[in-house]
Amino acid sequence: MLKDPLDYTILIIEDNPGDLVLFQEYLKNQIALPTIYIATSFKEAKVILLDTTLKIDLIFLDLSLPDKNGIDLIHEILFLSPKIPIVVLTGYSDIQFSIQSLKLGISDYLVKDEITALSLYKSLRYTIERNKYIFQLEQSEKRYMDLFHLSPQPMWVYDLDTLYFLDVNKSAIEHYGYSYEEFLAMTIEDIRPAEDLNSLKEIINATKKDKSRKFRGLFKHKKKNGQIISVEITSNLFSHNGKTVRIILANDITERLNYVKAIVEQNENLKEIAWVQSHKVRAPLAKMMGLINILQNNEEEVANNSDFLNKELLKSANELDLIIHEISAKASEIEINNKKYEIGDFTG
Amino acid sequence: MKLEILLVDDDPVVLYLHKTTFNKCNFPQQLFFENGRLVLDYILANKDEDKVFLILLDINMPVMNGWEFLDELNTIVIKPLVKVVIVTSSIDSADKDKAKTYDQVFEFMEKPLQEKLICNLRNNKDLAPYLIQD
Repeated sequence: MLKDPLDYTILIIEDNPGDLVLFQEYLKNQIALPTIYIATSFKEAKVILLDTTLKIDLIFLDLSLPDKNGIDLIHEILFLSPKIPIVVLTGYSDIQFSIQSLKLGISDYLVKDEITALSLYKSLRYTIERNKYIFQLEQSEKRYMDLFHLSPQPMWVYDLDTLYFLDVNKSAIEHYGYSYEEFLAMTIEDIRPAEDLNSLKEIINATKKDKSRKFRGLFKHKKKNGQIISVEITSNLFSHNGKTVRIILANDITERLNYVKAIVEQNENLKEIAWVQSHKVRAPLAKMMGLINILQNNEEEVANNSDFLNKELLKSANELDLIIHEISAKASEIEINNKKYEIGDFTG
Repeated sequence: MKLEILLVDDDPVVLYLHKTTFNKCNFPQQLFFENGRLVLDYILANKDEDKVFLILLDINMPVMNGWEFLDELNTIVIKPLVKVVIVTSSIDSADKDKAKTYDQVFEFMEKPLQEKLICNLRNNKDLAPYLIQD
């Protein structure tokens, strides 16, 4: 028979010398080159477990050691090495307890009198593989949780039925000013201005039925300090612990909208200036041109109305001067309204 | 058969300049109005099948501006011929485009009026029959 060629580092915690010899034989029977550490007491086991360079894959644990036993022993070993899977070795009298110990975090249990080389190997192999799989699942879950919690934009998850917040990320806490606990005691209605509550209900009902699941929209939100912000919401439905929930990504675009508003206002001012330029400025200028034309070419009018012509010419010049002053005042208004913005304000 | 020349502007100096130019071109006597409402009332009170009204119309005026006057004129069934020259200090091309949408408007002139253009009006086919040619 071909022996398992993989590297295994195994710790056997067992005080019975006969069992020790037997288990080692069994393991060598199935595995080509196992690395086996032996501890015959909790004290010895502790020394070995604290040495993290050993990279132990699995612990076989007898539940009755001279210096510790039972539930205490399980707790201590789990505390020392929470990541290493443990297979309990037990006698007939302790089967009930061994079954319960699975709940404490034990991976498997074997009844000593029934152990064969094959069943020991099978338990070892199965436990190690399962542990690897669980580790990968945990890593994957952690990666996704990090994406949520470390997102630079506020995100949260809420219950579609109760509207309560189920989880919020760090950015949401910083941006809205509520603590994590405060968020979890609130519903999404609590971050809305009162006048928006009806339209919110309509949207929630509409998106509940929406099979496409995805949603985008522009809303007003209220921070803890009462400030109203404009947010662009992107959201999606998903299942979380058996509940249908919605995950929200909130992008605060208040500054961006303010900027657009400022530009619109400025454009209005510029339009007005352009209108004044083409309509008002030319009126006194046209009069001046007309009056000068008469002064130069119409001897009869100059002879009869010289005073009138000169007086009106000066009046028109003064009108023109006044209008130019008005335009200049309007232009400086634009300067005052011109708040400085950084490029980053519109990309965030 | 009679031609009446109606000069409409809220600025008396502009009316004076218009009048001087028209006199230079030997046009008959003109009447002066300072807004659209006054000239509209005059036309309604003095309309006659034999009459042609030549109106030199400013756009920006209080009470009733040039556009409002033209809109009102369009709502009234009016027998005599009304020929309008828009006269404005504006160099805004939007005004010029808008002027083209009115049937009565046949000319668009910028202030100050040019003597040559006003004298040329004498050759207009609708106006010429009413004028004693030199």
